[in-house]
Amino acid sequence: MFLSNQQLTDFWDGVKSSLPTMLGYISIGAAFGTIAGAQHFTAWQVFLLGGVLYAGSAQFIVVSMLVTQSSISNIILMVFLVNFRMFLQSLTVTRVFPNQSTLSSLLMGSLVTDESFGILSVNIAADKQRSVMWMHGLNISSWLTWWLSCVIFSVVGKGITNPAAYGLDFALPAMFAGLWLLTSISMFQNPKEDKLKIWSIIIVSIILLYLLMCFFSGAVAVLVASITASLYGVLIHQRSKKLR
Amino acid sequence: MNDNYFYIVLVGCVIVTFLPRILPFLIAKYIIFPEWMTTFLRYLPLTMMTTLMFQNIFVRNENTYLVTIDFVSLMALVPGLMIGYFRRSLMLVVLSSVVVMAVIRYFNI
Repeated sequence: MFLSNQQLTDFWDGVKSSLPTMLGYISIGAAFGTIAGAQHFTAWQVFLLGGVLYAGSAQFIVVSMLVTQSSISNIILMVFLVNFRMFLQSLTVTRVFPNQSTLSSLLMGSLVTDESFGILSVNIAADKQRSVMWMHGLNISSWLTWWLSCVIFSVVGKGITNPAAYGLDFALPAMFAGLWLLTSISMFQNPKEDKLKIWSIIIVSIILLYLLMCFFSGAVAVLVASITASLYGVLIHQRSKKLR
Repeated sequence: MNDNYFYIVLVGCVIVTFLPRILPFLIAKYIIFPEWMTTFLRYLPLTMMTTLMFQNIFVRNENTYLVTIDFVSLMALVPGLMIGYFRRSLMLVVLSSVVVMAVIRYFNI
């Protein structure tokens, strides 16, 4: 494979764009590795879960369900539900990068995460053009960081004191808060968007999430709330066009 | 744990995770999105980031099913979000929130 200098620069820019999410990956990967190690999963099994399944919160669910000897079909169904939002995220990513080879799109699709999607969201919302290689750089550095952290801490985790004591487990909520803030700011600054409309979409998302979490798990609530709130966005968008 | 059990679960989970991730890329070239779908996908990043963020703020009590707000986490995020608003930096949001949380826990506030 031959890459031009421009492509290498873009790739490297993508790696740099992933830096703010690193602390989140490392601390949550460490938590996963430590938990799996304590439950007697081998480093090889942790590598398979972190590097091949590569599914963040779903990995915690798999480990806890394996330990309690849940049925195979229950575990797989649960993982499907928790990860189905990736379908919508990938769908969005295909709109941003429509022209790429099949191999490149397979690589991109299999490595998109909430975090790399979040970084891309900030760029989409700001109407900032990014290249395919930038996205690959972002995805690949995220993937490497995640599984390395999982595997390393599955071996050494037991010797290390509780990361919660240093507030490190808070890196993940903090990262999502930051991604939410920057995506919102970019939407507000986009001259094509109406500020009141953006506010109402954010508020509808929060209310829907709150109500759904009373009945469903967090992952399902996130999925249904974000779909419904986006449909609400479509509805008010079409109504405002008719009024014009 | 039985090895077969682990590997069957792993393969099953990889399939149901991998397929939804790559399917859009395989079909995108062959379908034309209607206009409402384009609008839908434009708002999706905003709604998904909003719900992913607030999922960490809302806490469900597994006995009563009541959802409450985690005010300690919310307060710990405020300084970071303010700094992030003025400096437009994700890294600063993460670092300052972690420091604030560590301080809150250290002093048992």
